[in-house]
Amino acid sequence: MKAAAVHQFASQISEHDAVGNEVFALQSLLKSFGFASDILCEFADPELLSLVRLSSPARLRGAPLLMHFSHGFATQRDVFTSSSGGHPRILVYHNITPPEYFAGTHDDLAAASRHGRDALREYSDRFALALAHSSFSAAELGELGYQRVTVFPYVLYESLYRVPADEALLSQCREPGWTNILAVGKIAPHKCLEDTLFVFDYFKRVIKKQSRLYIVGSWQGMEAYFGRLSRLVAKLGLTGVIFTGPVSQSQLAAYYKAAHAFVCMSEHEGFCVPAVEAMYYGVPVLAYHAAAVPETIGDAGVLFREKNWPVFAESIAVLLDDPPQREEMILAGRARAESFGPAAARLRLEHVLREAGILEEGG
Amino acid sequence: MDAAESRVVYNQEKSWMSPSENVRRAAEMRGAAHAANGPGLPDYAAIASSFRQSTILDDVSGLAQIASSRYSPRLSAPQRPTFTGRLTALLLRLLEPLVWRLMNASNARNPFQTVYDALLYQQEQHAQLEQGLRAEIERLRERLESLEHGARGPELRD
Repeated sequence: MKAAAVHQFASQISEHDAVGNEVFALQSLLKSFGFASDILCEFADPELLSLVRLSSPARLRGAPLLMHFSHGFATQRDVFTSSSGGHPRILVYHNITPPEYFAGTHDDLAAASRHGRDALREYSDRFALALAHSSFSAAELGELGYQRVTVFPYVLYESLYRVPADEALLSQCREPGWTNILAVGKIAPHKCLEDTLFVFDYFKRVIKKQSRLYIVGSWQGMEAYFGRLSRLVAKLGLTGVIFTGPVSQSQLAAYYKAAHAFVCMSEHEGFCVPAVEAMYYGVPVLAYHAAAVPETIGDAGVLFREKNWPVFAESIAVLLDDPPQREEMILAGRARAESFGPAAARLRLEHVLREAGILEEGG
Repeated sequence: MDAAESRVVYNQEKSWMSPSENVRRAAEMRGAAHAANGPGLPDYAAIASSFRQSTILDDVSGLAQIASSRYSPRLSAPQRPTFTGRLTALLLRLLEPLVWRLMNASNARNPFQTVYDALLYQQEQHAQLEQGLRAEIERLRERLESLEHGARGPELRD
């Protein structure tokens, strides 16, 4: 082993956040190689403060560093140009939602998106290696001038999925005779939840009245978009739509376990963690063919090249009416989810650490 | 259409699964039957087009967005360090080379290191205080939202 420690940096570490979850998953893997591994950040949820260290230039230079990047932040220049102390730095690119999705809805986020993309281009020479969670994101990094880019799929933080489901909620959702359709993720314009509402509207009107749509995720900072969705629900006269807001891990597990189908209409994803979570919990995934979604789902879900809402809804019906095919999809999904779990990820990480000269070749 | 016909076909188009023509036909037939026997379906395409063309300017809930950014600018905006934060960061940056040089020259603790550690501690305390304030702002904002939208948002149940 060449280095004694490999640390990670992310601007912000939050609960229920894909970046934060992967940082903790990678920390476990790095420790399994015998490295000391700190999580350095500028901001963290108060309940996570005991698990992270607030970053400083001295701390950033003490060891090889994985730098997670998913949006622009105010001190990015200081962070990216700080001394590495001669240790390799590896970019972990989670992708940045393009600013046009936030135009007219959240101008600050649009600015942060532009700011982040500018930084990616400006500091491409600061990294020994860049990791992208999909070939979709890898292509973006290539266009931004990155020479050494490796596709390194998102690492599931598996211990989260061992949290037991909220039994009371699960039993409430599993009301006999009802069909539950699920969408999970931040309520944001690029997720195109209006399309999910159209699919559900058709499903409820034409296929099965006793059905519900659970939309799980926070709308913090996206109040304008959330308001538009709420009015769309009213305009369609649609019942059975439940916006849960942010939920705990045990509540999230309950929603997944109670779901009959997971629908993703998003037009921009650097990976799409909720689709993998759905597969992990044995929920068939139906998704729009966009960005990194197809390569994440692989051959374990149904993909749609056009947003034909009735066809989406009819496909859900086919899966519900055909238990052998549904079972086949569930098994394929579970296998697919496992490929993003810690065992497979550890092998990929070992390869990356050798490539970056952090682990010795053949050691 | 029998069960076999209606299966979602594994057509392996570019290695991805995709819905079959049979499913597409089922949608057309069922949609037509629904229209013939009832009020028909909403004009989804027109509604979608109108939805995507609307902007914050003609959006009443834009008020919520404005309220949100007014009450919690640091939650929604890219993080901007305060003056004290910037000053501390500057002092740390100035002291850092001295601390490292002296540490390399001698194992003994040097006065610059003491000042450096004190500043680092202050920076951490400052950040923790800020985290606490952000959490408090978030609680207040949620309270505001719950007043506006009800306790859990628009739960529209049958």
